[in-house]
Amino acid sequence: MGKFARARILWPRLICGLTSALLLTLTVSCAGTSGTADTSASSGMKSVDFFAMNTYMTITAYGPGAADAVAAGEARVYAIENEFSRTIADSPIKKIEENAGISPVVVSQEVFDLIREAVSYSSDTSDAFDLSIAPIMDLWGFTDSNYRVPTDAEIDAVLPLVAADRIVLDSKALTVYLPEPGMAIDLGGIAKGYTSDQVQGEMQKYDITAGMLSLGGNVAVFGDKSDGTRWKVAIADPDNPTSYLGILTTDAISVITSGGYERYFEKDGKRYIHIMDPATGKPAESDLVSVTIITKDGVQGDALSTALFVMGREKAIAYYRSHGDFLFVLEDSDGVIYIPSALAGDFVASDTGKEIVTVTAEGT
Amino acid sequence: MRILREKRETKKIYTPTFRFCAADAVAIAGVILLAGLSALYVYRTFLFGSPSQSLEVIFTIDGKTVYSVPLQSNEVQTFTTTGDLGSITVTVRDGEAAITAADCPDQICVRTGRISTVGQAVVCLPNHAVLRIEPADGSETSSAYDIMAN
Repeated sequence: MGKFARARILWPRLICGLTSALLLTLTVSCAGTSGTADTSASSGMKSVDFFAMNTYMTITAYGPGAADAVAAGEARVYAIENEFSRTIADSPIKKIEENAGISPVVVSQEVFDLIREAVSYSSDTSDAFDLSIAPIMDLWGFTDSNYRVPTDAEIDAVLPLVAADRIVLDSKALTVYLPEPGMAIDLGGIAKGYTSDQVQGEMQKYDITAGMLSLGGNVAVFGDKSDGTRWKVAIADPDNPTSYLGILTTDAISVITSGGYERYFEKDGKRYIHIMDPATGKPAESDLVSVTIITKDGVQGDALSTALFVMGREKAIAYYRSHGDFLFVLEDSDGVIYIPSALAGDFVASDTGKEIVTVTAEGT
Repeated sequence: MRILREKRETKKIYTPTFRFCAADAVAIAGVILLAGLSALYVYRTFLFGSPSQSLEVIFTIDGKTVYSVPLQSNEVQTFTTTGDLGSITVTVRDGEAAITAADCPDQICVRTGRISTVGQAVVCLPNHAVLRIEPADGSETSSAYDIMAN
């Protein structure tokens, strides 16, 4: 074959070779990008964060209606805050407080129903959760961050005002009455859970496939993730709140944690946590450092996370065994984690070296 | 006879013998090189882990970004601003960020400690301040969890 003929074959080969190289590159690149695109929700994702109810909130939605859904969710938060805040003048809760010992106050059905539910949690938990704890919170300065340690005499004077069973409810007239001046209702221990349920309901009116909320660390997830996997909710480690005790794999659920590790003040080397024991009027001396309630019902999760913390480990587990309509993750002051056996397959502890004890529903 | 001759001629013109030459080597090398480079590019995060992705520290007050800086830096970065309750200081060092001082009675933000991965946040309620970490290019990253309860 002559030199000329060889050159005529050479160039097509070279061009053909480089073209296939290019095609291969494109194929590999495309395969790569479609693999990562799954997690970034191609059909739309919208997230907002804001301060409300004296806490930091984030609301995220996935799907074509995501932007409308998060806007409606945020608006619902402000609407509920105006109804249930103790610090907003003219709120129904404030009016009830101002009329303590004077007269019953007519409220909306929504406000009445949540107060009634809070009262029933107070009696159901033997007042470990108490919506009338407000005067004690004021005394310790947790309401306005002017922290102080009151004397026993001061506490004894205020403690009779903490009595959920003395709240007078009239379901026909829709009135709430606090029979003694100085009594006050604070729905802070239940309002975020209620808000979480309400915001989810509001968001689901829009064209979304999934959503997740964090209302000051009270978490709710719902719908189906775009990659088809189940939700993964981390539970904060009390020893290092930016790290986590473990990860819960779950479908739609609320996960609500209470602990003394976040909000407290120190005086003369002693730590005073913000969770009060309604029986003593002092910070709860619990043998638990963190209580997480896992439930479909945000109100229940919020009320019980506080109540079970105040109860302490033994009573908390006994309460679970007598009710059983929720799951939990407890950590005690010895660094031992307690979970119900029903959760064992879905909770993966992180590498903290903490012992895990499985609790049966029936007891031993 | 005539048909046979024609066939012989056809054979002579259309079947050149294959000979491996320099151009083939160049083409094959090119294919392998490009494929390798593109694979490396696509799977770079997988191969080298997340540190190769550039993360940014974002500090907001009332939703407005008042400070942002790359998380990875050779120098210690500090930033001090005034919130509703007085001064508040952010420190970024060795791939970690924290609120290191705040004029508020709670001190929850200071106690929260240091953050280093996307999704973590330090919140100062009285100052309406949030310190968080985001990917510099705005894309989402895979995390061990979707959301954290605390």
